Amino acid sequence: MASPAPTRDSLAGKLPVTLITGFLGSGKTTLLKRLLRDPGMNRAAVIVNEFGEVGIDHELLASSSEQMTLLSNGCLCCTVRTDLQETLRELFIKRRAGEVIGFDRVFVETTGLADPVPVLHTLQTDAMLGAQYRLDCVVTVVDAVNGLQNLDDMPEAAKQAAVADRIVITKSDIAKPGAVAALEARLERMNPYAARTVAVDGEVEVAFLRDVGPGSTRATPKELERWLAPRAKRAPPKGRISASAFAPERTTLRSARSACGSRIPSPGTRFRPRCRC
Amino acid sequence: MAQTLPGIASRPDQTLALNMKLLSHHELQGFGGIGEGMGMQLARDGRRILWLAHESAPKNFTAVDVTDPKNPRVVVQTELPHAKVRSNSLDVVGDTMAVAYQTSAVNTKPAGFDLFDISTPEKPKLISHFDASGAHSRGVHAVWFVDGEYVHMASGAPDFQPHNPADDQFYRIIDVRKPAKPEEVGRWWLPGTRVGDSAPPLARHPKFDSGFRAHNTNVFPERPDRAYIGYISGGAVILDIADKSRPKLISHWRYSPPYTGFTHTVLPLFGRGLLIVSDECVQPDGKDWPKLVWVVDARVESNLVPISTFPLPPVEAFAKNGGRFGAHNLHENLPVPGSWKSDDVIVGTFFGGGVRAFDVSNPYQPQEIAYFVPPAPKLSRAGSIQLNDVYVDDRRLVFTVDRFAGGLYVLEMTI
Repeated sequence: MASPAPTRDSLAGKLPVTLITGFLGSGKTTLLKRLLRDPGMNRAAVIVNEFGEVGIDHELLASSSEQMTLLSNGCLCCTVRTDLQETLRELFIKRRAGEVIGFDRVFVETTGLADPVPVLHTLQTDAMLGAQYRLDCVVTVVDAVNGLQNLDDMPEAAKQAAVADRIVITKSDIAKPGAVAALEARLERMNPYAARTVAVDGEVEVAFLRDVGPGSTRATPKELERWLAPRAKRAPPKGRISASAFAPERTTLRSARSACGSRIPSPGTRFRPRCRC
Repeated sequence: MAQTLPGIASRPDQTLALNMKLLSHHELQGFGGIGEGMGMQLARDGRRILWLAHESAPKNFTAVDVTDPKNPRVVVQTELPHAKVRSNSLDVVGDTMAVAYQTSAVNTKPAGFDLFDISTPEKPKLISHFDASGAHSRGVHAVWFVDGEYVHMASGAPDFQPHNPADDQFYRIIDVRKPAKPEEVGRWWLPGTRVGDSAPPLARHPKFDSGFRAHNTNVFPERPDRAYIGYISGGAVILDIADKSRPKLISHWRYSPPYTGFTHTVLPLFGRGLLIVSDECVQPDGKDWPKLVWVVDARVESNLVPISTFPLPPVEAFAKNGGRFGAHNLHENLPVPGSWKSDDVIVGTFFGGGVRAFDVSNPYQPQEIAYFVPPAPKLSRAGSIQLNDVYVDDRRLVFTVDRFAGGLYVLEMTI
């Protein structure tokens, strides 16, 4: 009855989930539109909280009357039903029964006022979801016009930036001179381990946002480095170190420790160092 | 433009996949109906040859070079002597292959099995034929041949008269250590099935009477003194075969009725005290649903306790696509070189439900971790894919076959 030495890679084959967050008006939907136009993203499922006035795309999204809609590029779009867990479960059940496309990744777009931490908690602690999905990346969109102010005034905006694996800075084309640099400096202090890019009208290299998290327990330290410390060559941040992102996977822990050395202090949990804002 | 999803079940023309990727597909020269015999030969010249027994005449068996899984090539394809016999089952050990022959009526030949020398795969040479034909026999349905010494099989015999014609095939052990002269050394049947038994005839299943007869008769080197037998309407059977001439019943797990019968495979997971027991779906359109794969606690082998079943997709999603939908063959961890062996991942075929892999590391909660459902093959009379058997090699490549027309599908597992 004892569990055998696994012949299965417990991460491989799970459907990657990318969480796209960002404050109201920061450009999440614009970014999503760009991503969905990439040929490599034509089998994605997209979960949005609502089909808003600014739809994913007037060309891509024709109907907002049903809870699940097939986009013209082959992707699937659905609204969150009662909660995200149920929506993800229902999506997988329908995938298995052939009722929806065999999607190969999921994008979850949060509302602008969402605290992403409960969503991350859901994705990482629900055992049933964990059997089918893995969190690949948290993408936070921050706009250069209002972003700095939002980070000061709105705790949700600060949390969104603090938990990001990738930060996309938008609206640089209409921001005041120096705004992008000021925002970058602030984000650097808040979350030095998130790689950042500046995108106009959502134009961002898809590779920057795809396959970020480890997709295998056999990931090499080099592969883990991409996720754990994309900007690690910079000077270490000053300030208190906190931790988030967690998966009690021993193999990964070993690899992660190998990749990060003393920055991972203790066994049992995979820690990801971050500077608290 | 976008379209609103209809929210209906699967369609037989679509491919469904999770963690299995199609590497190649071969229609086997237009004869793509394969039974439940798949064996891999690691040929002396380095090639991997996959031997396939056809589901029905006119073809006997086909050998496919799968050394390059993306470019399978047929090496040889052979004929049956007439249409009232089918091979259905085969096994390969080294350069020797056993091929079953079952006839559609009693008193018909050939009914038994052949041994072939396949050292030159292009030219299989007949070594001997074991005759199991008789007045009440349809010959051999399935063979298990993994040690080069004994063929364990579900077979009729000329001297065996069952009370019911559906009970004609029982467990027989044939010594083939002299390949030119196969010789029976032991047999066992469910008491009450043979005319002359002291036990009374058994009550038939009131609705799904598929017969009290053997199907898969598996013996592994880890326990050479045990035979694990799917006994169709009779459930799962474990025999003590330390003395092959006198097999003794260790345990017998019957669960039909209330279930719908046809126990097919009893696969032991040694070291874990578990059995994986598969049914076979034998009726179309979900009429004999549920046909399941069971996880059975066998730590006390005389007291078998079912603890879970594999989580299959909803019957309404597949059952009405045409043909059968439900459990059938498993990859049986064949104890031969080239075969994949796993105690925590079980791969099986489910006819219209395709091929599916399950993680049983927690035996109380098996998880489905991969599947592949090809579209309905052209010219298939079923109307949907009917994946019949599966073989996983030690490269973790999944070879699976359609029962009627689709031939061979080669898949890569990404788990």
